[in-house]
Amino acid sequence: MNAIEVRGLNVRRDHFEMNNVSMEVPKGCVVGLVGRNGAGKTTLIEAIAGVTETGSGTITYDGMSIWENEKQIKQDLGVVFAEPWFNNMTSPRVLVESIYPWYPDFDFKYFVDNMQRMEIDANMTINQYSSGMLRKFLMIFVLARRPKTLILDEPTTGVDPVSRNEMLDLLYEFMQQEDHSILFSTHITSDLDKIADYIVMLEKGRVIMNESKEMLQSRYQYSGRGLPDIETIMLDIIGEGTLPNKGGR
Amino acid sequence: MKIKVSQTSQTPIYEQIEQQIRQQIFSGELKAGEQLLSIRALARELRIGIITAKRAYDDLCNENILVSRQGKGVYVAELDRELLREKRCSDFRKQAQQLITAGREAGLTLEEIHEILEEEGKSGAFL
Repeated sequence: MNAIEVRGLNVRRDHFEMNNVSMEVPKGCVVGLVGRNGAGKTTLIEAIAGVTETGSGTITYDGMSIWENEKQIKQDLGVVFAEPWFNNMTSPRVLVESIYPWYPDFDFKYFVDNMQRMEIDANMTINQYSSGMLRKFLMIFVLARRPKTLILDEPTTGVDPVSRNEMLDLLYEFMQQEDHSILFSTHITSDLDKIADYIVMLEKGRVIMNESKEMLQSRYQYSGRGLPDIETIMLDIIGEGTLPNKGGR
Repeated sequence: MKIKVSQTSQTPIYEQIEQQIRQQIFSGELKAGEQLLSIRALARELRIGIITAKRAYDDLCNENILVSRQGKGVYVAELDRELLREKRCSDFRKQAQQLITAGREAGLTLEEIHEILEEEGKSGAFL
């Protein structure tokens, strides 16, 4: 069973086209969506999150289309967008208090405990946060809704290593439940690669690679340099790499 | 259960885990019936993918070293003591062969190697 399944998806925008994209997030697994800037990662995530118009193709959630059970699907899906969608002159405390009545499942205790654990002051206005604090807050905020499938767009951009490690902790904690799944995007090698089970690579609006990390690394294992990180593999596949044995398309 | 993995090693991560668990079972550090971390807890502990952790446990289950009980967890199998002893004995034999080869290369006779072994054994220095 796939938590998310995209089949033959096309999206057209002014200067961008996504062609025949198929990929899946198997239930209980973590998928890393990699590719350089402009490859279509955010477009794909927005399509899955249902916030952008799509052309032909299908997206299913636990085998269901959005119109079959919109309420359930939206409840189970937690999306951390690259840009905060709310007024950043407000503080998390005010924000949570204002949305609380609309989200009966919002786990207030989880939110408060983890904000404290990550040492993020919920009374500061969000525009005063460092990018590390902002990213961690957004993640905790979405996780507090207790989703089953978590989607994160570029969660580690501008985040220091210590905070990245804390974010990784939150993700591993989330994944202790067998029916939880994660899709995250990144344009750089980040510590998040460690948790990924599958890597999907986008380039110019197409999927150019979709493989388990195990398979991927075993293919590169005999390069004589130890197991390469995802960034090296990405450069290699796009054709600017330095590895002796080409992975090839 | 103490396991360390190197992300930069040539040896695949699942193999590193398998080697260490095997070794800890043969050395008696891990005892029969002992429960191991769940797949997901192991992944978290070692900062690796869940599928990688699962692969390591699956391989060891196939070797009958571990047993997986549906919904309960993964345990060290009740190993046949006689069989285990034989296995460890044959492992030691291989090491002994290497030791003798090394001794021969150093120009020692079999008697001299034997003497060294006895002396070292009696002195107990290895403890």
